Amino acid sequence: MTVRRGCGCRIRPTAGNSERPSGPVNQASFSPDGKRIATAGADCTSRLWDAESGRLLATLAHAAAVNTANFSPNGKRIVTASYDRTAKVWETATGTLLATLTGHAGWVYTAAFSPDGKRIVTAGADHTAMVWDAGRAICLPL
Amino acid sequence: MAGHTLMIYAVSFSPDGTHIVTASADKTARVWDSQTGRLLATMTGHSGRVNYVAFSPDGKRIVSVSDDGTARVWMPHPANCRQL
Repeated sequence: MTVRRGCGCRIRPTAGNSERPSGPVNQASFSPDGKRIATAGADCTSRLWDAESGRLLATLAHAAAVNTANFSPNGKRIVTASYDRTAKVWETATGTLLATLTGHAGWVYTAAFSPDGKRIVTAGADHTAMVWDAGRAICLPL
Repeated sequence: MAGHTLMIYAVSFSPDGTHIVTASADKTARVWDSQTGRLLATMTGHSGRVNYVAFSPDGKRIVSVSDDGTARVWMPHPANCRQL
């Protein structure tokens, strides 16, 4: 693999300011098939993009900055972690909110699916990591 | 692997383990040979610190995100870098 210095980067004109993240972007991840990118932004949103065209597909809203956005292993769901003390699970195809994981006593810094997609682990400023049933959105006692 | 001039915020291996990509407050992301530590590429263009970098599952692209409010996709060919 070669990434040339400077990359000859061309800036794609954005369709409108609403598509531009209005603050720092904290993290990003590719979908397992490489066709989508989810970004986590300080503007209280996670944004889902077409990785090929750069088109904005969905805006996933939190009440505070989003620190992490990660896909499930099959790519059908996204989990986001936010300073609003929650993690949220979204349907990739529609941007629909499926579940809100509430229980951390502080910022949620990061979240990830288990390899089989059935569980989610979150970690927060409250010094704890929590494991959740991804389908029922309940915290599992560990 | 020395070359960044400010703090490194994120690191990641390529899927095949041959490369490492780093993200730095120096506004660049850099690709390194994971065996030799040799600097292979410096991705310049962000106007703020680079907070995170990740390879695509096929290892052919890199996404970087920055305090400048943009996400950028980097590809081997110079003409194929885009700002989302």
